[in-house]
Amino acid sequence: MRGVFQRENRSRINLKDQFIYHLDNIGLSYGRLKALNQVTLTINPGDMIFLTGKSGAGKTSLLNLLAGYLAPTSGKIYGMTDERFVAQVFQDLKLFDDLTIEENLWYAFDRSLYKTKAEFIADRNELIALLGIKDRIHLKVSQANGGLKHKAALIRALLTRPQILLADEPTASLDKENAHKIFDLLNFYNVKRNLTVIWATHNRELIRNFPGKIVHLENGKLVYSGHACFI
Amino acid sequence: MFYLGEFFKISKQNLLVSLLACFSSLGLILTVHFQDNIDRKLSELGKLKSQQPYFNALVDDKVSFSKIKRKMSQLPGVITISSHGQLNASDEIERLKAAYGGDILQSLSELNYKKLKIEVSQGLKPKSLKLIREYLVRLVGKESVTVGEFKFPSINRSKVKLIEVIQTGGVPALMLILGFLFCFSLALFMKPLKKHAFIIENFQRKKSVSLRILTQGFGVVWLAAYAMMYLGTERLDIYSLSLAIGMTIIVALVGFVSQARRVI
Repeated sequence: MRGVFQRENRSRINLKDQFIYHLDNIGLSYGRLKALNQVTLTINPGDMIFLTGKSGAGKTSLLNLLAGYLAPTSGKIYGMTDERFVAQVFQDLKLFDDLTIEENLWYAFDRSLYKTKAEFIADRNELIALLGIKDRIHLKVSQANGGLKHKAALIRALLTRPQILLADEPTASLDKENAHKIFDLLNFYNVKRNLTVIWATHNRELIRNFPGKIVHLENGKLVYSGHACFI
Repeated sequence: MFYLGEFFKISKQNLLVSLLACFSSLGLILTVHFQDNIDRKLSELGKLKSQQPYFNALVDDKVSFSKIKRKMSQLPGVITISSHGQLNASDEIERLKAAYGGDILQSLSELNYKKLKIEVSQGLKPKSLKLIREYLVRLVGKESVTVGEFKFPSINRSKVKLIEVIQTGGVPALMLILGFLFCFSLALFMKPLKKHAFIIENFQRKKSVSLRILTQGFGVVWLAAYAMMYLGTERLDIYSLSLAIGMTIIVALVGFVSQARRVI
């Protein structure tokens, strides 16, 4: 079901020269509470977008809309229809506590993406090395610290070779150095592999040095959408 | 195999719940499959129920049992008259003759007796009991009958009631309890199942994961049980197979409900 936002638009969406998502006057309500209100936004292939705003501003709701878990109560979402391109880093990470980091990563092993296990292991080892957790992948998730868990969740998402990554606070509970490592990794994927990243965060330090696009939400309303340098 | 592996992984992580689900479902299958045997076993408990006051009598085989039964049944307080076969005196006497020899026992060897048991109602007065015994003696003749004393088996009425309840509603109640336990354990199983299915659907792009995990997992467990039962008893009845189909539908529904859904 994911990605079948507007079936009538399915055929004319082309990732090469079209937007990935276009949100047209989107509203989302939970009962009386308006989580999103008249949000209009276009996301193009290869964008790296920081989704900012205070807690409760509507960042997670917007990500859930883009992932297809929520339907807008008003407005329309136009978007790419093939779900195989989207991966997520969830706010609660959704790792199995009683499995090791390595075992958790195996859940990203999709036979339609990897011809052999060796190919998957090579990709996995590359990411593990980039984030510097090689010596800790045999730890159980319940024994791992917050930073390690976040890295594991991110690696699992990237191992699915996505074209779009929706990340909900992937640097939460990470120190400055590790947060930069993750930023550099995603930046690398964004530049070299044209990965579209939509990243919800509170991390002002990263945003300050960020050359890309920022979408700022306040009380469910989009109050700024543009390059960080214009803030 | 992938889904089966996931089923056992979830089961291992939630051992109590999965054991409850497996054993309750297997219990249901076994109860239906061996219902006749269970009913028979339960009816054997009923022997306790018929322990009314009674006396035994040895009656000459030449006297008609149906006549005794008809006449005695008309007496107030008499519940049943049952024949417990013949006492084959000649066999017994042959054994004695072999041991002692002589003709003394010759005349005795020509006698044959029927063993009768006469059950009467609870709470009859001693006078009434005495009259019943005397009636039998008068009916068949003093020389043709040997009458025993009345016996009063102790009866625990609440126990008898309980046995009656078990006999009439035991199997349905057992099936109801097992069915409830199975549904309850399935409900508890849903939470870890949902999590596994959600992760797999998100990162491996598989569809209907919950449904497949549940149906394949329980399917294998039940198939193994049916295969063993078939090998053991060489029969599979229609009720047992219907139950399996019913449980598969329930499991499939739970799997369907547990699936992660994307609304757009």
